[in-house]
Amino acid sequence: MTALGTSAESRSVAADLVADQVTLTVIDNYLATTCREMGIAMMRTAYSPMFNESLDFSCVLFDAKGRLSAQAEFCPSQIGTIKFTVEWMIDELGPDIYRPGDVIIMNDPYRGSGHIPEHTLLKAVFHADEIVGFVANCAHLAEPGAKAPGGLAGDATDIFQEGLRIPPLWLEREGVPQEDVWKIIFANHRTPKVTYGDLMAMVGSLNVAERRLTGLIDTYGYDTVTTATEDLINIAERRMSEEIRRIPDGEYRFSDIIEDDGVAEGSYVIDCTVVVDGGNVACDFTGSDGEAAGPMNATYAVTASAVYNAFMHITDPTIPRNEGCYRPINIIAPPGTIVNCEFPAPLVGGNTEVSPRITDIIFGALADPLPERIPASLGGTSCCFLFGGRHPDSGDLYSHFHFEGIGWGGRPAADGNSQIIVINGNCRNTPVEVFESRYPLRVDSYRLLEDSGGPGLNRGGLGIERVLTMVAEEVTVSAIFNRMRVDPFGIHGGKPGANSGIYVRLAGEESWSTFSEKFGTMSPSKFSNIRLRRGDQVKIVAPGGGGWGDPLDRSADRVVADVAEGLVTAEAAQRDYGLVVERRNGAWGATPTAERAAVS
Amino acid sequence: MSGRWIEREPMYLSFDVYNCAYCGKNVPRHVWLEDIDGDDVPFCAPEVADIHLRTRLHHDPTARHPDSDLGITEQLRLVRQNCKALRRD
Repeated sequence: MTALGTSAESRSVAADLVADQVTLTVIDNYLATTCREMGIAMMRTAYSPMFNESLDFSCVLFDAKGRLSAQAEFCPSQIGTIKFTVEWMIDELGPDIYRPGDVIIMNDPYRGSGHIPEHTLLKAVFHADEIVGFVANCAHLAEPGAKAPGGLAGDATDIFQEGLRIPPLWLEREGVPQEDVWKIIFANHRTPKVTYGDLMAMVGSLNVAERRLTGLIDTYGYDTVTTATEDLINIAERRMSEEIRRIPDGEYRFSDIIEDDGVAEGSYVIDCTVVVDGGNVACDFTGSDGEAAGPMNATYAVTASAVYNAFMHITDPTIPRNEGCYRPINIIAPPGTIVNCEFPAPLVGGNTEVSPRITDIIFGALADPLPERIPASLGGTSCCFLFGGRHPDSGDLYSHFHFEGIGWGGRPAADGNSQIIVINGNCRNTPVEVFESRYPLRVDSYRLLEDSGGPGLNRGGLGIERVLTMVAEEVTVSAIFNRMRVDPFGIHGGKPGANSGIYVRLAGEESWSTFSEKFGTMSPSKFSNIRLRRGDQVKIVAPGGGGWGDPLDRSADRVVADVAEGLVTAEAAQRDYGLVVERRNGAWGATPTAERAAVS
Repeated sequence: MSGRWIEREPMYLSFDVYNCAYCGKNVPRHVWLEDIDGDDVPFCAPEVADIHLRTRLHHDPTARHPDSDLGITEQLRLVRQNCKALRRD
């Protein structure tokens, strides 16, 4: 159980609260736990591994005014965007149109959604014939009806190639499924049974939340719950402002690159000036490049979500996660740029690739004023590998979105974590056993990649290598990767992490090729609908994180331990850390090189 | 300043998205159209249009006016106070 905070500023905030601290803490935890329970309901009842293994969904509560009142530890990119999605849904439909039992569906990125695969469901909660709040969830459906199985077409040139775009529509009216809407969705998705199971899991999750919210009001009364929610939002705002106030006032600038867009040659710069002024911060993306021709664009909601994500990582995690904690964080994202694309630009990769880049850019900007909190760059790509086809056992169409863990950046007090899903995801990848039992691909190898973590006083986390073999006559594959050519950066003297990669080896061949070399795709890292045959192999290389601090300052004991565990090779230990590491008579030892000896 | 409120009905035959010319956010329904150099420029609210006019060059909406009398977080504080699209109370 998380208390609301015991710091001096929290106690001073308490003086003007209407509800008492105990009631506030109980209600705050009840609301967050309700969100977690919504998630468990989805995980246990959905059909696809995207839900029950990858956990690519988020569950949130809103008050009657449409303000975010609670969330839990779900997917940061969805939590940030759902604020905008629900706001749009309520505004577009109007506040007085809902009836008990109505469920609204929407996935349009140009109405606040992150990208088309992410579907948001919304339900108004009634108590004594009055709307007392809204419950919502957002989840990534494995199949949105795009040009490519799995939805993430790396070479899409407009939004219409990225799937079925759904404006706010009634999925259920007063508890009755709207068959016309379901039929349209089923007719456009390759895997309608899976879509049905996953959407019904989302509906069930909303029903759980509805029961919990009305139960809370039954216990405490509407006035107490409303007052407590108002107080919690105000507490969150003030505590987040206090956190921001700890950052020295000033303007901090950083930029990084999206290496290509899958459609045209050339890279895109994302530029951000972070302005800290007292308890407020503004992240101004003026100066970023214009929107991409391919799907590497972010909407305003995605950009805002990535900025929120950065600040949630570097501020007190006990701040109640509601509307209030977002208020002191402001975003300017000029329309028509890669951080705020305009209809009908393609954008499906913005939520997977641009989002983590923006979070890293905020970290980069704040690295000097907050040296004790900011990590180096993470691998910074979701390593999206999509595939689909007709399953040889069942004869059914299948479709899946696989994402890979990456190395995270070295931290001020510790090495970066290895093989963790990208910072905007907080998801899990698909276990090998599930992967092989559900899809006609075999996992031949899966291992941490030595030397992929950026050298540093605190080393970057390691990326991985996975080799897959196709065991069906035909499998259609697509990909969206980044960091294949632009390094994950180190900070404070740390070195870059290793790059990503995706390679193919056709049956009978000995060497690996990029997809550009083998199939002529414009980009080696972003493409769609490549048909592979039985026995063909794909190798996924996930990048490492950047290093934090000068690697020559890393202790010999830590370097020796890395070599002994196979995380760093002896060659890299000598080259990057200035230590000759050897095993003699069964014991590991290290001798400094002249370079290291000169600086120590 | 001269402009007018419009209430955007949900558009299905032609999908027009209005971005606030100041912060860039999509404005769902209630849009303030400010007449700037003969063009209708969308904003969250007239107060936001006023901030825009005081702080940015007309001919280049991405350039910040060097003589702005408002710091950027002060601008955004005013935007948050006045912007219907951002304000939910």
